Amino acid sequence: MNRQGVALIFTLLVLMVLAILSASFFLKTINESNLVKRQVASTQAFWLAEAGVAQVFSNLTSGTLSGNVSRDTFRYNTTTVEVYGNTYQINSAGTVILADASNITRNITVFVTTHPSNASGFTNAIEVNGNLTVRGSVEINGTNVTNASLSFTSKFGLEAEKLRAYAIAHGNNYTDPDPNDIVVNNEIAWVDVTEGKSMITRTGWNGSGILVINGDADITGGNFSGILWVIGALKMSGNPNDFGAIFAECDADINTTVTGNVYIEHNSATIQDALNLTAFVNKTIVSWNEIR
Amino acid sequence: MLIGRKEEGKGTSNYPRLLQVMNSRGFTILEVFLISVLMIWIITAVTSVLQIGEFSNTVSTARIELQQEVRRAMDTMITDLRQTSREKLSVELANGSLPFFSDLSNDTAFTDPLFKVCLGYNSSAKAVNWSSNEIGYTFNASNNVIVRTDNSTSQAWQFNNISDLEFRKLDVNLLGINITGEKVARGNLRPTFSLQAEVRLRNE
Repeated sequence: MNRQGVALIFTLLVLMVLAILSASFFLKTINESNLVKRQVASTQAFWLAEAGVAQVFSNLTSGTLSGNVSRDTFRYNTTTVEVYGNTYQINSAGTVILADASNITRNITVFVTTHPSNASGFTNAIEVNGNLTVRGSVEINGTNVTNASLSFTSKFGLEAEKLRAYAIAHGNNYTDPDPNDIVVNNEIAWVDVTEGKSMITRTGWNGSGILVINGDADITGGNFSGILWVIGALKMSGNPNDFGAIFAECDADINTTVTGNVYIEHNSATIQDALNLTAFVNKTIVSWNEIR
Repeated sequence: MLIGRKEEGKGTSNYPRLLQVMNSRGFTILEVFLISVLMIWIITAVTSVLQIGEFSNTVSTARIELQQEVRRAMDTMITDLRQTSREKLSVELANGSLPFFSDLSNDTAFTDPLFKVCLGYNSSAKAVNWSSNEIGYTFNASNNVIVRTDNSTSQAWQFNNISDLEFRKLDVNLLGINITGEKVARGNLRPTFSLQAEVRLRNE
């Protein structure tokens, strides 16, 4: 009897058993690995959808917006529609593309309402915390209020810091700008002025919207339509024209001086146009739900 | 003494001993004894390795299944709770009272959350559309399960192998969840797994 092949058969059997065990373990590991990958991708997709909502919310406007976070396979796609006056619906889909080209998507729907500031606090042509000195050929069409206790928050219904953050987010913030360097066309602009300096506009400058000057202002020319809010001392001279409302939130012992050929007109229409800009600053998420 | 029949003419002293064994038709008792010892040693070693492997596999499988179960329970709860508001979420306190989440002070532990979820927004009415049904989570310590109920359907989801579930108010709209799971792997060996999460209630 020839037994020389027994070792080979025995070896093959052992190898087969080991191969089956290895394959079984390998498949199990792969399966668990895929489960974990999909779970991770699902979480990533959710936060991508949230990133899309945050992106739209910071710069609210109707339309579509797409982007990715950190890499091409991490995407968000949003659609924003103004469904009703001052009410926007944002649909955001976060998608993670896996290595096998399959997708994991999570969908979020958010409603946002916007709240423009109320115009009821903007009935005067000029309001100042201290005294108002008017000389020369100044013309003020509208009432003026002196020794006021101005509060940005109570006038606008939102904190000045929010307005500043909005201006920064839209690239409309300046620090110690040169004369006439400020560009504000139906926008919200914020200007920081270092102590000892003053923000200056001269003849030939035009602007509209809301202009907040955090520091002293020296206005010698130009045209502005909207709301000018100065958190400091205000001097107006030369021949500037202002249509809307002016506020000087200065210390009570500081005089606001208006001299020369300054023309100031309280204008409800331009004030309302300016206040409408605050709708996108004063916004609230009123509902949030995930579509499954 | 030989087992089997020795092949004639090949067992001479001119052959090396190994070749003599290879060419023999049987084995000596010593050879059988040595082979038996060797085989027993090999089989014992292999069996031990397989047993350790199988034990390790059983424990890791139990641990993985436990983690998956706890994660599934946590994910489901987070997804549901995100969509409610502090005014639509009622809870049960240790004294049996059922206040709303908004009425709790921070760091209060509670059980059995019951809540409505947001379905959208009615723009003209300027109001959130809330689900008519309520979703609830109950921990049954005797069966070690979390049961998710939705009163719009008779079906209930169940998450097994849960040994502890704790909810806590962390802030105005912030809720903490702590789940601990335990699963019998073999005998008294019971891997445990805990998961903590903070959930921000997205609706006002």
